[in-house]
Amino acid sequence: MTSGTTAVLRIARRSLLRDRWRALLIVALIALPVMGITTAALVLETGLPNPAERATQRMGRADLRVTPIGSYGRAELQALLPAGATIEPIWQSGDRVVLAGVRLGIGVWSMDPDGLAIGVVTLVGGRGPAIADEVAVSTRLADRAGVGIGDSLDLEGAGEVHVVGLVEDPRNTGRPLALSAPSLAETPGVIPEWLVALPAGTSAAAVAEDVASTVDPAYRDVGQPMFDVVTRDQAGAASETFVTFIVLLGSLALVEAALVASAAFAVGIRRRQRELGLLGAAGATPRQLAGSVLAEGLLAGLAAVVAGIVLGMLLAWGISLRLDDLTSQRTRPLELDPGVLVAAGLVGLLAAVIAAAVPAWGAARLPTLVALSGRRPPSTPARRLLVFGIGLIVFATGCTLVAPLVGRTGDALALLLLVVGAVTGVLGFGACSPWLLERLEGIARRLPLAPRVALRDTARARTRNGPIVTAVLASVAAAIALAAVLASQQAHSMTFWRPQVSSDSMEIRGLVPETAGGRVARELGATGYGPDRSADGPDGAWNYEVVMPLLHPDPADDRTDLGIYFVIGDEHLLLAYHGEAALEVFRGGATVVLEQVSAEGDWTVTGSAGQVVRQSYDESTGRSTSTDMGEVPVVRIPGRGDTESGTIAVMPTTTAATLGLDIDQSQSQYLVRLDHDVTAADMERAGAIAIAADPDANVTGPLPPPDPMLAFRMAMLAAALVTALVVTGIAVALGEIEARPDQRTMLALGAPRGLRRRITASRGMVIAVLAGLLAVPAGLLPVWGVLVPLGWPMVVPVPEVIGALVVLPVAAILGGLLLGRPIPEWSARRDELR
Amino acid sequence: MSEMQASGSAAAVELRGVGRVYGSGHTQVVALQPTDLSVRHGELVAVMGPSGSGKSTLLAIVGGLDRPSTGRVMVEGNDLGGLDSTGLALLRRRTVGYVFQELNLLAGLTASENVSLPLELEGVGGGPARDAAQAALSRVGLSELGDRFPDDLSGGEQQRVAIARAIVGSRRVLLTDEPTGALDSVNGELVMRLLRAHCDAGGAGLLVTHDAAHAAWADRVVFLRDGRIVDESRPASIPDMPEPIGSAA
Amino acid sequence: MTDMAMRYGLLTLLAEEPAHGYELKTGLERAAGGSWAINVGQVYSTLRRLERDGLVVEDAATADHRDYRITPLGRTELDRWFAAPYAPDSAPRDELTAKVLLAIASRDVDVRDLLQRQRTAILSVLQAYTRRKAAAAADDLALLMMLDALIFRAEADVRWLDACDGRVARRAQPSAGEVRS
Repeated sequence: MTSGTTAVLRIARRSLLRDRWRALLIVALIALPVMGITTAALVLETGLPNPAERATQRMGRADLRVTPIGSYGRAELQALLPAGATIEPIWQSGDRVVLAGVRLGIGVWSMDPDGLAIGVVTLVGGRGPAIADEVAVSTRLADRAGVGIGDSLDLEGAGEVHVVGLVEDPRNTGRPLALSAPSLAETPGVIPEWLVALPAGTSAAAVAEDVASTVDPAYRDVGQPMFDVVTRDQAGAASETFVTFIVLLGSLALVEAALVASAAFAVGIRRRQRELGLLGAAGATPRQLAGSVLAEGLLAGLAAVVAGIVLGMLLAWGISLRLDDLTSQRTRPLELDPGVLVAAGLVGLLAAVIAAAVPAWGAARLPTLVALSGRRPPSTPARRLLVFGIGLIVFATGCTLVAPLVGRTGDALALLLLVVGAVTGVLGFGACSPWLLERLEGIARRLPLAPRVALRDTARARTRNGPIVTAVLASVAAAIALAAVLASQQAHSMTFWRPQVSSDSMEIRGLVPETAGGRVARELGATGYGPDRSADGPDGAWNYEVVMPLLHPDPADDRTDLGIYFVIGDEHLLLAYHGEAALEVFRGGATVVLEQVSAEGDWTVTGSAGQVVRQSYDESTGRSTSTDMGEVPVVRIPGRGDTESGTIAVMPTTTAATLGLDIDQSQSQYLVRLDHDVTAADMERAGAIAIAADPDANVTGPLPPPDPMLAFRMAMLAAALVTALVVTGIAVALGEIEARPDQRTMLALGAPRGLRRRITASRGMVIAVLAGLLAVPAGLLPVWGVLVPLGWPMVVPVPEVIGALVVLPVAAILGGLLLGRPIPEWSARRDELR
Repeated sequence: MSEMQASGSAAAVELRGVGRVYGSGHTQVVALQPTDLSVRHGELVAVMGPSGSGKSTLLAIVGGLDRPSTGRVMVEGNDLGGLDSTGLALLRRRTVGYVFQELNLLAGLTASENVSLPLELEGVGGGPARDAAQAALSRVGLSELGDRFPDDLSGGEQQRVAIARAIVGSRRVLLTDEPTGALDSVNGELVMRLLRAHCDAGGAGLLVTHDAAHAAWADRVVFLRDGRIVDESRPASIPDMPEPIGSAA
Repeated sequence: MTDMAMRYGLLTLLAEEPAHGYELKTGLERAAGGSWAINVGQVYSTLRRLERDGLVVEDAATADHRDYRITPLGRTELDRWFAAPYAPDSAPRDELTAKVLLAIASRDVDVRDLLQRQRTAILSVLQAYTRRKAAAAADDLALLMMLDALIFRAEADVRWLDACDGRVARRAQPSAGEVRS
């Protein structure tokens, strides 16, 4: 090490130690993402099953898991396997149990928990069931039903059973589950799957290939195999979505940290400017000057990496203690993968060096005379940065447009292009911010004092505030982009959605809809109708349809008739469905078809009679059969008011009774009509009332269903806004440090003490407004690039855009007002004001 | 503003037994012993003394930045002891102007905006404030530089802008703390001439300095040592003082 | 005015143009910013000495008064004088220095009081000079520079007194340690 390097390192170390708070800020900025990455990677590595675990959860210690495609069983399978192979049945089905008047769906599995299936299910207490009326139940079911080993439990399908053990599904420890004897999997009518253990020395892949390629003799013409086979390798293969997500978030967090740390370094340079000038005057070369700043970054990075990794491991350890409860899974004890730690460390060092690089370059370029004068060095011309930024945006758009062409999302190259596109896009928009600040400075003259000072200060320090704005916009843009993708996906999936009921009605379904629906009607002051039975058998084992001849103008459509779903009820139901016109004939026993133009085209049904058909479906064979139940008179009238749910029929209860339809009494619905159009608030209230009365109830209204990802979006938005506000706060704090000498002047001028707070708030506002404005295009542009090739509608995510344009600035202003400090009192002793 | 003005007091600044003690117990430091001092309108008084002699404390007390431990301070007829911190802020905004050695100007405001700042804080509208600022800048000879930012001004120009701000509007009491400390002698003299002109026009000035050549611009020079006034000097009458030649002055 | 200043002041004026004795007296006063009282007799005696040394000659061209003219030797001598820098004496021998140094030696004198009295006195003079300067016309460069010279010298005296004060104060409290600048 030359003496020059030693000197540079010593200066860097002193610089860090002298300005402890700023050093701590830099270290924290880099340590936090390092900690996040370390924690996330360690927890995911522990919490997500690895391939071996995934295989075990799927197939215990078997080599193959075989699923019959037809109704083939043990004998047929054994014939295809090499001698010495052992097989065990595994059957995963369901049943119901009525607890406190509510039917609860539970899993009923049959397998040997001590046999090949060990790991698919785990025996945690008592013993495995041996005979037909014995079960081992999961802790969850035991708790819900209030039973333990030695008690009995009444299952709807299987009748009374005795609890002899406690089991657990390691994939979902919260699942209500009853494990019955393995022999039940081989009772007539049950077609189980099979776990296969091969003799030593046999190639599982080869056997799997043999079994899977054996064609079902009954379907030789279409080449349908008898069995579907999964090997351990296949069962262990993982989806990469999670990893993708982590990579994206991790890279974004690092870009973010590097940008903010870069601004913190820039402030350090500004404060150390004279010292750099003195060094330059004393003969330090530009390389040594840049070196001292880079060394500062490296030292801060090292400290941050050590702190981040240690904290990350501690946090991961803390989380791992609660991981089983959090995920409802059985997870391994925490492993400290050195690879993860090294990767997180390298990434942190890289971020620190990148963060220090730009200020270091600035320090090397700073003319010694300017440095000595103490004047602010000239800013990089904003126009050149603007051109650079626009170039980056074009490049980013290109990347995102090309990404879907090279492969579907999830492919490494496509992912890389998307990440590069998103990051360069954000950087590009960020590079435009100094130019915008320069433009904005033009309007400063007309602003009130506080925003004027804040805007001018921010604009003058644009070299530092460019990265800050970029960091703020990056987090908000990420939320906007994510939301835009999700919203577009939702819009795409809602393309064919139509309301189920008329605009003033809600339907309540559930196990006991009379209770739930009645209560909803009563509490909302509405008229209630029902219960009405849907024409279905239990668990969808069968259903009824009214089949009518179909008229359609499309010659390519070769269907001849249409099965219409119907509901059985009294005339109130008909009226609720706006079927007044057909009330007379309905009373006479006729089924009323409320005809709608289908989304599929302008077809319609014809005739005055329909054939009632029972469609039953045999789950075990996968075959369905139709049974003719007789003909009924049918009247067709225009459909239900403003609904577009497709054609539906209402059958009088008397007619259904006459036909002797086997209706599932539990499958019913209750209609509630309000005196006004249903609002989201009505739906929410009805939902709450219904759930309180019947946990299984659900409410269908004329409004589109809530976006299932909305909660996730809001959480991401909140996280993004918090990040953005923290970064804005850092920028404001840095600005305040620089403006410290102004306080004495303000004080001497008799400025109201709160003026400083208003300036602080305005600083936040300037950053937030600018970042918010840029975040919208920065977030939407890459999404547009992704969606256009997919042909999905581009939906602007309104809450996120409002968050960027309104909430962020308002929160920044409020934060500044709340956290900002007043002009300090005069202090002659400690000359704080200089 | 009229209610702030004195009715009968001749002195712009009147200190009676003003002392300042920081801390207490054995960490107690006496910054200023009980002191009497008055500055009349039209008078420039310099306070000289080594560092730590209490001269900045004296100035801070007159400007209402600091409160005396003992004694009474009157500025333009206002008893500072009767004012709360808002009242003191109003006093600084309306009655007294401050000039420090350096960093007087807000870097984010133009010269003109810096000068009109006290008026703007008073709620004076943009037009009249700008006009007043322009007038004040003219008085310090900088009427052309109103749109410049502090970073684009030389040190001397910055101090002159600071003086313009301290005398903008109708403020007459000018408090300056080493206003020439960071300037060369030519610029220093320029600044002193401005202070002198302000006082000759009926203003009152209090100048803290350790520079004898600058203190000599004052009508009286007060010497502080260890928080106590030890002496005072007035201009000597020198019989063989040269008379101007070739000028009528 | 010292003989030296008079000698070269006359040479300087005569180098511009020939002049008679009274013209030279007023010229010198103007050049000195009015700070020197000039005795016309001193002008003539100096002129005679210059003539003796061959630096000027009396020009008898006009009858009513005698003009003096500089000789080439006079010009050479004047150039040499301007070219040679003035170096202050190595040991100050003025009364102020002597008074302060003697006060240190004396047990009966309070040095700091003496220093302050001196400071006040010099400040009074400085104030007088500065008043004069404030009243001077901006284009009266000679006067302004003359006053500057007086002011800076007096200021130097004050700074010296300040430095003495600091040293005496330190001697009085040896435990004070650090010097307050």
